[in-house]
Amino acid sequence: MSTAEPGAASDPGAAAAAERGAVRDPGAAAAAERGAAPGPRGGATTTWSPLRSPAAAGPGYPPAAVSWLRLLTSELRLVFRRRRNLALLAVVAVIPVIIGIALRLAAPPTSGGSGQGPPFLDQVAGNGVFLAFLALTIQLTLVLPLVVAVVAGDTIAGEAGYGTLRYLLAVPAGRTRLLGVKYLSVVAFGLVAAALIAAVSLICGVSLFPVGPVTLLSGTTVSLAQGLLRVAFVTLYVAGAMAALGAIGVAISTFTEHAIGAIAALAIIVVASQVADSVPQFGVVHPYLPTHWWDSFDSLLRAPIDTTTLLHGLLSFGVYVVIFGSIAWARFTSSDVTS
Amino acid sequence: MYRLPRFSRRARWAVPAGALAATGAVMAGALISTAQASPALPARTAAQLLAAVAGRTGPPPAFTGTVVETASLGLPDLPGTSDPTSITSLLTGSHTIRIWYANPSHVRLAVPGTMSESDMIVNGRTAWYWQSTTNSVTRYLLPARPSRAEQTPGASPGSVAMTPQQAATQALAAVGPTTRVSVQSNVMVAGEPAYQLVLAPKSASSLVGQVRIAIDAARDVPLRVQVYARGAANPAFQVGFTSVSFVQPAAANFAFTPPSGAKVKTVTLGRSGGSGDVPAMTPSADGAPTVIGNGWLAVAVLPSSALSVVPGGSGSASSAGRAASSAAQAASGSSPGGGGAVGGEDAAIFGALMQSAAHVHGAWGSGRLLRTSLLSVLITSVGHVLVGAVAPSVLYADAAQANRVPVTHAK
Repeated sequence: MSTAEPGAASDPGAAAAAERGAVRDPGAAAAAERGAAPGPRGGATTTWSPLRSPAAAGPGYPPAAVSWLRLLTSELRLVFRRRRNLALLAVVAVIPVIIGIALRLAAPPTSGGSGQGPPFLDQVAGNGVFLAFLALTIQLTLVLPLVVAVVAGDTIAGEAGYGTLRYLLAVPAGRTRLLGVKYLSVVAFGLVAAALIAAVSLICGVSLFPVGPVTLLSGTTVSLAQGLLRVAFVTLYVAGAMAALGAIGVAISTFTEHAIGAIAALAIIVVASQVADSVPQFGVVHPYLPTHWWDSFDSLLRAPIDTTTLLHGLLSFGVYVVIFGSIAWARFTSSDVTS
Repeated sequence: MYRLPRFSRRARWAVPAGALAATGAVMAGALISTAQASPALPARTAAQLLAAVAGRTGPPPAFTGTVVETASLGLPDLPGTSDPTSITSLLTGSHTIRIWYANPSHVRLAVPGTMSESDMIVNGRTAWYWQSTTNSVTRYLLPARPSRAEQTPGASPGSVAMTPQQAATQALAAVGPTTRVSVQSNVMVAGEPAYQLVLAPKSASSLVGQVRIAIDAARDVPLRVQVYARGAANPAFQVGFTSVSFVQPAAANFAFTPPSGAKVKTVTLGRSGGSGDVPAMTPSADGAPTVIGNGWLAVAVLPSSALSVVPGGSGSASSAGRAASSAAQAASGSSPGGGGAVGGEDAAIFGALMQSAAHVHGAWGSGRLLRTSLLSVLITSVGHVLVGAVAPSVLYADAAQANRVPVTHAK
């Protein structure tokens, strides 16, 4: 029973990591930065074992917080400079613009509305702020989860698939820390994607439609500033939902070397959960489904805010993060890494 | 080379397993504690409970709470019941209503839906009905005297002055011949300790097994009503608080200003007119049901045409009614007079119900029988609709009686 021995291939590893950095990110030396984390690079010393925490590895290492931050910055730079991820963000950002323009070109605003179609659709023509709610609602069903699935499923499996995971583990950072950083980058990506949707929708809504005090679902009208605050809270809630989804994705990602498999599995989970959530006969399990509480952000649009439902949703997200985060941790810190 | 002990790698899996187990335990604990917790309360007899509820004077205390209504009547899957604001949606599934109650003239009910909400707000002599899906507001001007409907049925004007003991004696005497009244172990409802009063029909022909009423121990107000079908372990229908706090709700809840851009309609409610616009199930005068039998065996007899007025909404009745009657005809098939006209999308529901109805015939005639765990509905070929929480045999007997009595007979 042999553990991972990335240190044995230290020098070629650095080369491969640098190469990977070049492929992903021509401008930056992110991988080199990782490799440059201080510490001896000899074979015996870099032999990594899950039980040895880098903080205890020797006096040559920087304080844990600094090294955490350095690793996180490096990972964030990788995620947000990657062309594929930028393309995903672009898709997410373009959709509100398309919706806004389509609504602007469509029939003139009718007072009241038909009550048909997606929620908030009728309100957009009267108040551009609702474009943010509309865009978030629409994208939350499929586009946003898929985007997060791509990034989350890629975290560990992607590195394994590229054959760079063992070189990454050569960085004296510890698997737990590496996993944490990977997950945080997914959370950050979900937050950025949700915030991007909200921001683009608001800009688009303000420029295309009249803007004014916001009528909540309860029929109460609040000031524009209050309305924007609620947009911000809705965005954070959606980001929380994506963080829970990201935890599942990272957990799946630790079980495979094929990123596409993890991505597909996560997408299937999302769709299956949504289907199950819409079947009344499964009512007993609805509250426990990962997607059930996603659109409960409507609780923020009531007066007074329905905190019970909101807290239920956040609790559900938290439980998913804890369970799947710990699964990912148990798997990643105990598995043999051969690629 | 460092060799990792096998146990410690396995041991890592104890963390997710522990997280899963802890989650499961907390969830199960929450479920069990709400289901089985039996708070210790001073013992009270059924008579005392009845007296406490019936002897209450004045309106219930102010509260803010969430009520969940759950119906599992054993109906077939009904189309179009997903709209939470539709009355028919109450027949299946579970529904949540948030309530703010200050006094009988300051009440707000909110029915939250996914990305939608309907609100009924009573503020003094004005009532507002807001629907976010249609962005519409209906403003009701109420008659001068507030309705007394909030009073519990037992609190008739005469009983208010009586002592609780007299009220209890009277109440027990009223229900005694038909009903066994008892108490069951105390329960927690919405975090409040409550007594359980159980009413069980004595007649074996009633489909109702028992009705359990949870009564708040401190305030003598009902917190939950559960209706069990005969022999059933789970309630077929229940409505009760899932959370409640007996504090005065903020005045802002009762202030409503129609949002700009909303369609506003004003309806003046007199003592007689205008009731057609109220979103209620009140049948209009010509469809007033005749009641045969009393107590638990009461059966409502309606002319089958009365079904058309059930779904409310006066405007589109004629066009929708025509479309519906053809659908109903198609659904009712071989029983020519049995098809009632039902308005609008409820035709589809009616059709779905009729498909699960069985053909029955006997000395009383023939018709179609719809059986659920709690309700039996008989639609006879001569155009009577009999509805009751009774065994079909009672409906057959009543159908024979209804055949002798003209349907137009008023209550």
